[in-house]
Amino acid sequence: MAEKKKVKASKPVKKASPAKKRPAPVVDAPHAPSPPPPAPDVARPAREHAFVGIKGHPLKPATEVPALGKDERLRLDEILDRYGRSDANLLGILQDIQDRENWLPRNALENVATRLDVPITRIYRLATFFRSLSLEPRGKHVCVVCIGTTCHVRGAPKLVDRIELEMGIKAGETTKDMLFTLETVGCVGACAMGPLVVIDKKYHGNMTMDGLTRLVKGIKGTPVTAEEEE
Amino acid sequence: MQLPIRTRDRLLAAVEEARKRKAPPEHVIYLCAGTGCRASGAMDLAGAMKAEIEGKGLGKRVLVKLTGCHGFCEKGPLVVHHPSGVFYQTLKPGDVKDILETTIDRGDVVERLLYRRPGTGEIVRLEKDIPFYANQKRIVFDLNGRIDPFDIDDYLAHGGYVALAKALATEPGKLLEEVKKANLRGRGGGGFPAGRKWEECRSAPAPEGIRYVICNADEGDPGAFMDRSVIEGNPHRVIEGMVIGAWTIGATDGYVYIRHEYPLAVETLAKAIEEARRYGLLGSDILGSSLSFDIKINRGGGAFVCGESTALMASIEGEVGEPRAKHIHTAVQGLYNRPTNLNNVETWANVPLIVERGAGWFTSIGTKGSSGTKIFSLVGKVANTGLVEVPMGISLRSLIYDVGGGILGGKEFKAVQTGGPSGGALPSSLLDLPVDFDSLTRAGSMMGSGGAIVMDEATCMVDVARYFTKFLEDESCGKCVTCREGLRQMGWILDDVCAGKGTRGQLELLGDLGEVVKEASLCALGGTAANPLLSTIKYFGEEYEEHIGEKVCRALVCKELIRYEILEDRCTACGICRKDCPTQAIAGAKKTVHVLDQAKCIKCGVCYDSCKYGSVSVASGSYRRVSEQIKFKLRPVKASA
Repeated sequence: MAEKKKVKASKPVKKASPAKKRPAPVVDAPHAPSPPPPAPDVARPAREHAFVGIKGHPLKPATEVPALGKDERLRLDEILDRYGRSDANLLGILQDIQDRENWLPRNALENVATRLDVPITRIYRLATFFRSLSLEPRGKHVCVVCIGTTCHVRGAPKLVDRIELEMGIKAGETTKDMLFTLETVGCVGACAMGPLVVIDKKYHGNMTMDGLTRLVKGIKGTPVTAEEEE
Repeated sequence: MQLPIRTRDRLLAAVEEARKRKAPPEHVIYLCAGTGCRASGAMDLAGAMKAEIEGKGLGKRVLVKLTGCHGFCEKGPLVVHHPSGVFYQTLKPGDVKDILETTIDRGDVVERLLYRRPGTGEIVRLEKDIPFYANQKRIVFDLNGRIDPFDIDDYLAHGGYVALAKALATEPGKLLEEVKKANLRGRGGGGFPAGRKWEECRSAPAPEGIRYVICNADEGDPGAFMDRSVIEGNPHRVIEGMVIGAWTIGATDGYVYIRHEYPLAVETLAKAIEEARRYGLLGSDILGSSLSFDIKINRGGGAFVCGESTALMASIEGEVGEPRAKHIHTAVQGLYNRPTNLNNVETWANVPLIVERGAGWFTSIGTKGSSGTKIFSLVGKVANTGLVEVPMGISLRSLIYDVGGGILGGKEFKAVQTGGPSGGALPSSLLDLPVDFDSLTRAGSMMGSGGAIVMDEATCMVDVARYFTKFLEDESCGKCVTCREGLRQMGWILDDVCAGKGTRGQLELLGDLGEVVKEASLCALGGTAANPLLSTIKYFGEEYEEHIGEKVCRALVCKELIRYEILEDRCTACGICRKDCPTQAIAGAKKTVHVLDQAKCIKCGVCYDSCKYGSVSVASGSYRRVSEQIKFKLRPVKASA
């Protein structure tokens, strides 16, 4: 499973343009991709992240990461300026990048690390620690099911099961067509309206199985068009 | 009015001026625009109402004021009419015309939109007569639902920042004595006396003269949302409390650490801080005093552990939110190793009240050990869900039955979970327990931030324990082995128990694990993590026994232990469940009684929810429940041969 992921993950990355190519520094050599992991043990499934970096962020030398485009760079500048380019505001910076880009692309993180002069590991530490940060691209529609206690006793687990079944993904995953992401959240603080589902930042309270199916089917009916994907 | 306001006298003059300017017109409609009501369509209602008023040319006579949360989220969207005090609930844009014609034009009430007492159906006209409100004592919440949180003038017009003016004219030492005398205890969960913390922070050495105050609005406790509501409804009171705190302690900078999941609260607070700066209530030389103080907002990253003081401070510093040992209190060495005073939103909101009305007034409310009020989020299977502010010492029974209106759908009360994942579930035998910091802790639960989740007979306590354990396992930062691994083991065992694979002896093992996690973890997350488990074992041990011994779940929740069936004699062969079943496990045809294939059934419960004829049953052992029959008369078809 882990091997498969690795092959797949390295495919979609655009090749670095020849102009950007520089001789790989010698120091980078030890960081070259590790040999393929041993076959996963059946009894104890191998951790998905093993040897492939982090999901959505395959392990590879920094030189192979495509540089930021001009627009992306400007957007990043704006965010960094807002926080006075201080590493104490790292979390806020990452949150704002995610608000803009919908996820945390590796090249943006590399850029932040260089410009704030913080180790990239510190950024990854934050990005993997905090639940609201995503290291994987998220779909066009983000559906967040509240699984706080109140929503739980009022039947939120059933709702999650239902969406998982309907969309063929698990919580935390995105459909292959990048249309739909399913996430769960501890509590959104609207407990009286539970069970509650937030779709594209719009709150839907007192959710029923029927209502949810309608909402989800409504999204399914609007696949991502070619232009939007660009 | 000249801005910024530079002296105390000018502030008092500004208050008078705001009072005159904000004098209510003939009619005011207070429309709740909190997160809860927005989720049920308050903004559409507001739009429709404004358009209709505009269209009728009533703009001069009627003011629609979008306020923060009123607390009664269950009945949203809701409005209160001033001056009559009439309360309308569950409104739709279509009701606007009726309200304006009847209430504004004719001074009458629209009966169909009024609150009705559950059970008797008796109509209640006025907000203050509704049991949900009548049994509360709203002091922190008094202006929620009356002021526009985006307008600082509205807060001033209601006497806002007067307490600050008074505080700045008082010696910090005297103020500290007042707060200590008021016995204000931390509302965030621990119940530590705020005055003592302030004193420690104030007297801690600060070589550079820098001290911090922090407002903890990282309300991670699932099922509690009072902090969100206070900030969304009355952000200036929190700011005012923090400035008074800064003056008392000698702090220079303030932070509000607020959840990322509360976008409206963040927006409201950011606007309020900006306004306070413009009015000179934040910044340098506030109101002519020597106090210079400003507040910054930090958004949380969705980690429950960041509600813990040291983790929160690490997060503000741009580090991962991992707690540290507190041999040295954060009041002495906190944020950036400087003296830091951290209090919860509700605690800060109480401060201006104490300063304005005195410690004597504050201690006259509540009990001897716990003064004042506490806001609870009364949620779950209770008739009136929402936020309630009650005096400390009220009994759980009064909270749930008088204020909350009893259990939803007339079902049987089973438990109430106070304190969220750090608290415990209390059974009906403890319903007369007074709600204060000490009584709850003695009963094996805790006050926590004030979540009160009511559970009825359809809630499985083993499942609840598993839910909290899994939640905490997920939220554990992973620093302490006992918390990280202990909770995981507990979760696995509870998985087994819920799946009917539990074995004898596991209950004791769970208890042992719980004790170890409690004793050997560093922070409060781990230290209280076993509470839900231990309290459910203590009070609901028989449910565990049933799950392990008889493989039965009496609440009919645990999937592996239940079985759905279609009742032959009641099935009308309508085909709805057959169509809805996601695994095509239901066989049948028109006029042929439907049959559920147990091998294909994934126990999702769709058939149970979709059947309108009360023909689907769910059973586990001798416990059984049949789906509700609605609207239609039974027309069972004969079972085919």
